[in-house]
Amino acid sequence: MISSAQATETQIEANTGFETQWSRAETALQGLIGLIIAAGLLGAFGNGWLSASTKAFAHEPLSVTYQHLLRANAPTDLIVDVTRALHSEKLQIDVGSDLLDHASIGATQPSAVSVDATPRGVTYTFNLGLEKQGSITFKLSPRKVGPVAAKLTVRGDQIDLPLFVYP
Amino acid sequence: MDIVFRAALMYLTVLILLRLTTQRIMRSATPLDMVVIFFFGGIAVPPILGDDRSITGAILALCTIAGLHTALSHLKRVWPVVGMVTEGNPVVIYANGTWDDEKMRRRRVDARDVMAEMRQQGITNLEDVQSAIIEHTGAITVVPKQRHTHP
Repeated sequence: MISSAQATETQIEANTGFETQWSRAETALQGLIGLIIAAGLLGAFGNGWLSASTKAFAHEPLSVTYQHLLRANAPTDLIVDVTRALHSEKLQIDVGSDLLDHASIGATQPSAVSVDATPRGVTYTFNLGLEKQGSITFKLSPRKVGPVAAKLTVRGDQIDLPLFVYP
Repeated sequence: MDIVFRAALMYLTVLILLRLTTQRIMRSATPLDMVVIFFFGGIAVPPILGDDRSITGAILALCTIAGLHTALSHLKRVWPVVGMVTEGNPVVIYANGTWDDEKMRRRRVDARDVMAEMRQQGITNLEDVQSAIIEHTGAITVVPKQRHTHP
């Protein structure tokens, strides 16, 4: 290694002790950046393989596709698919209060026929039409950081959707 | 995941466009060059984050850009062609009283840029200049003529 005295006769304020420590810290931080990128690519911060989830209701022909790792102030979709024709054209989905405490539902696709507040949360009623089948998208905007015990209920059949909201 | 891809795409796009547009941004703060940086900065960020206003999303985008930058910096040491593509090569534009107009046109540099650099080095006459080189950093190096002192 070339010392500063060998390299130049100009007086410089070299601090080799600090430089060595900084070099180690820099290497460690570059490794951390690499890990964050890898985690981001895998979906550890949402929108990816580690975050995507699908759950089916036990007794209803419905499944929910969602991201269980979310970011505050980053919109996401929660999609309820009707996998088999229902008995009725109307579909009522109860959204639990814990999800509503942590995230706002800005809109649904298709639009709900009615939205009613209940002691346990909010009930969304959708008209599926004559096919009695389809897909419903809830546009979620997470607000509060932390774990969320989200619950959806359809005709008494409840499904738990544990979520985590990053800052 | 999509933030990482969007940040990487925008980083590489801005890098290539800056390389094509101007290399002198950090050396010559002329309005002609600075306007590019303002617009590039403003236009490149929204597509990366979109509606995402989260701290995690911003950190992920910043880490992606920092990681790509570090990786390219290492790669150009291993494969010099990476450095040539991203930064360019030194080019002599003036030597022994002759301007290389073709190279100046390609680098979009005129004699005034060289004169300004010359004056900053305390050289007031072009006849005292042996050569002028545009470095890969975008800087203009002015090499003065060697003065032979007679005893």
